[in-house]
Amino acid sequence: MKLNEHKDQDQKRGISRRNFLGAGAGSIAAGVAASTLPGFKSLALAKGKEEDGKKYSEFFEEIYTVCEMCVTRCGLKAKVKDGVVVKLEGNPAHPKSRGKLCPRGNAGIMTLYDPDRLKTPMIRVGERGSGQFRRASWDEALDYIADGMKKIKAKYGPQAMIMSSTHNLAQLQFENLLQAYGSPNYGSQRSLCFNAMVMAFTMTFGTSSVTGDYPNTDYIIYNGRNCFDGIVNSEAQDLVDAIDRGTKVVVLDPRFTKSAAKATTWLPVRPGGDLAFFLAVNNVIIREGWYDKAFIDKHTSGFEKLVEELEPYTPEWAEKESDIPAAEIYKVARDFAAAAPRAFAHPNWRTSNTLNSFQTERAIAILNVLVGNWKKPGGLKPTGGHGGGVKLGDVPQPPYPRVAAMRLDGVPLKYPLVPLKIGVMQELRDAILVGRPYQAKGWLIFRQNPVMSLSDRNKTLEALKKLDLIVSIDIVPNDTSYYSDVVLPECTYLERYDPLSVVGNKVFLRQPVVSAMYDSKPAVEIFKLLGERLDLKEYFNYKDGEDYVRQQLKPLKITLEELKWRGHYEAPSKEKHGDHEEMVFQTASGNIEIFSETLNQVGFDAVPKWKEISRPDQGKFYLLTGKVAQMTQASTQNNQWLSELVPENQLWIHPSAASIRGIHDGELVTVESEVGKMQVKAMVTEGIRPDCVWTNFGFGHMSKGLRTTYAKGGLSSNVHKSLTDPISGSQALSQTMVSVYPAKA
Amino acid sequence: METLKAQANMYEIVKAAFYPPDAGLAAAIADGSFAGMIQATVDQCCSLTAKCCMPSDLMKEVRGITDSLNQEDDLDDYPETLHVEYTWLFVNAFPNLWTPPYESYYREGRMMGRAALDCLSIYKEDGLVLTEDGELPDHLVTQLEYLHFLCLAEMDAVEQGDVEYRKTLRSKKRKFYEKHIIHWVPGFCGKVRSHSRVEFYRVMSRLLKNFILLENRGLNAEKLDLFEEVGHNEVKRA
Repeated sequence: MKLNEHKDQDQKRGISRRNFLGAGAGSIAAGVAASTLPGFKSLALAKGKEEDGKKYSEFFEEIYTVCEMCVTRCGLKAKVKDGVVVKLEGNPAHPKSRGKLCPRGNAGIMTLYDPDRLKTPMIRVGERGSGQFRRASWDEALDYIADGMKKIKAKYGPQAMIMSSTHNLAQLQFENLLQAYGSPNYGSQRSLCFNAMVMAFTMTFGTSSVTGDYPNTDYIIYNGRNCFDGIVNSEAQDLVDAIDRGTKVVVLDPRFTKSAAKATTWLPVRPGGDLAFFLAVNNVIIREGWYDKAFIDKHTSGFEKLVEELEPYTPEWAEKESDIPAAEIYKVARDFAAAAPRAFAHPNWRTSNTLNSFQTERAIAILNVLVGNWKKPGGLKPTGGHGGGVKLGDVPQPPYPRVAAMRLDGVPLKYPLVPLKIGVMQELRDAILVGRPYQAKGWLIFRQNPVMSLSDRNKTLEALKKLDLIVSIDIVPNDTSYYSDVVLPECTYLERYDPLSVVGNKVFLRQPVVSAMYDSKPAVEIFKLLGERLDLKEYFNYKDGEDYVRQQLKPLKITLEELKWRGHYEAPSKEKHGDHEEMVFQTASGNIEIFSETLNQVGFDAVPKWKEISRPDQGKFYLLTGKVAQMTQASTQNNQWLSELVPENQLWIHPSAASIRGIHDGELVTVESEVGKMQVKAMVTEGIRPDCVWTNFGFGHMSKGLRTTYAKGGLSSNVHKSLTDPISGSQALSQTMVSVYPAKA
Repeated sequence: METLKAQANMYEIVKAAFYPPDAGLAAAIADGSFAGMIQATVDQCCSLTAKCCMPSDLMKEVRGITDSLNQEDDLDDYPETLHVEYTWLFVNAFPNLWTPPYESYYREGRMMGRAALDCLSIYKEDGLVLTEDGELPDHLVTQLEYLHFLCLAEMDAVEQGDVEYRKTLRSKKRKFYEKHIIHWVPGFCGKVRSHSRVEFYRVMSRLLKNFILLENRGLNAEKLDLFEEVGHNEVKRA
């Protein structure tokens, strides 16, 4: 113990050399004779005169960075005073935010200053799930992980280690760690989200980065897409403007969403019946000759096969499957075609709804093709995707080792068309549970919370028991870190550099606006430190997050210092005028594929066909889930400001269904399926079909470390069963049938 | 001067108790030297003021920490025990982090609130900066470090016989107690005492609470008894 030493030092200090400035004048430290404070850890004497006694600024510092409250990555301007973030605003130069932020973006400050944040690395000491941890140094925690991962690799091969991540700017560097380590087992959340849309549009147009030309359109059809709750900032702004301009908007949704409320027409479609609706719309357009023959002849293949297949799908037939009156279907088809090409059927976003979702998305893609709106003003247009049009510098590294092992999630053997980068998350979990085709031993989870997000949570918890090593990297003690062996604290997006974000021809920088709180580190540095301990040093040729960005910037005509100041860089635009003339499609045939040769080869329907979708038994409901504007998936519920706005989720239920069950508005109800239960408060409303109930996903956290949101609301993943579409690997989230009854019964 | 030294020692002790524990601390607790230091400091103080400043049962508890350890014969695990408890009380915990050691948390329910900002300004004004790997400005140990620093400066002032400057320093200390310490540390200590599962933190939280209440009382007393023992002729009674 050093206490006595300090006492001696104190006595020896040359205090008499001190020349007092007089009461109240100057700083105290200036007069203290010792050059350091003995044994002090948090405070130190200021060095230079400039720091000495300086009053804190009365002005804000404005720092540009990039938001991470959802995956949209809006540009931010952070107002910082005395080292504390006091306000976040949209960066006017960013095409996604255009100077505006959504509720979540505004509340980012409370994600930074959430008292529940992870503060230091922790190693589990009690039983798994006991919540007993001890703080550890980074060296100790990383050595522990590396040791575990090396043992797994030596004994079972690298494939026994799973790594999974959500969509984020450091994702590529995380995948780099996976590939350098040599495991094929990668899990993303996409099979729970947009697989069906991505794959259907890719197979039709050769790209899934597609959006509508909002400023010029006269007619939009959305299927389950709720732009005002599932917010992409710029798109929500575009839609508001379009509606203001008088654009006709049709929303198919079993629920009267905010978007439906603002639409011209709300069509409360039966879950899964949407495919019938779009097949019938396509049928009318072909039968009545509304299609763009010239466009189809020139740019597409397989039109004849479509004509043949669509024959039986009349509006009269579709009415029975979709519950939308045939007259309404005729009207939408004719109005849409009449408005075309200044009309588009939106690709939608989270399309993991039913086993038919992939073909529904194909039918929607084909509807756009039939009216020839591709790259036409007001029609559908490619966005260039996240990669954008700017070539960034590469960080040099050797090629990855060859991976021989098959994947646990059944891609490509069971799911031949699902891209490797996307995978099928729920199958991965099932493979851990059953130990086939081989037993996984470890799981490194980056900024993801599979305990919350995967359907059938009980199964997920069982699967975790099969693993020897569970590591999670996150900013809060979420439900998965509760079950982890090692928890690493990442710093929030307001405290770190991330690899550059490219939007079109603009490059945006995420940079720290305040220094990292606690003992937290940026993700890219964590990967590097772990990689080095796994003897994979050569794959991590950067010093830290800042150095990574510096290397990326090399080919561009801007220095990092300049970019830090300006927040973004605009590369000379490569886009030529009259770009819409160019018609190149990255498909097998080089054309837009109405008939998909790829689907045909692996034995799936090459043009969309109707398949029966199960209906709920008497007295049961389709369980539907979705979003609210104030929350992002399961990640923002512990944000105190957002929790004030939406403290818990509710179950929307139709009055006719509620009254016969004795369910009253605001009362607790139990929602039960064959795999589990949840309890939520009922919201009795006519804004939902009587055969459906709806709730917003992300509540019902079981981590007691999340003190703001713990035990608030119920988790739909407890109730969802796992049903997977064989084509896209998508989870069918709207095909779980539930019974609902008062909780006290 | 002796009282001041005792005060500074006591700040050293409570700081050491609430820093992340290391092997040195565990060893000092185990071999009784930590308790010995507390006892010596308290004795020193008591002999000067001729009345004991700490309740006798608290001192019994202090001596008891080491005894309880020996009885349980868990010396090997003790560093780990301290570590786990420190994490559970002050860092992150399931099911509940009962006692985050940050003033902003108790006063504003968030981190880096106005309390932290005010501390930051005070440190800055007095020529102090936060270290890179140190705690936040309103963390318990940061605040204790600041008070310890004021003690050291006050020792300088006494050495120099600068009464006015000493008054300024004491007024700074009193204000810091008034604006910050008193608002949350006593309550925090009470919570640590009731939630901690390890005797050391139960006793240390009580010691800290007693110490800061004594300090606060001394600072607010109109009559500055302390000046009696300064010993310089030119120093006038307040």
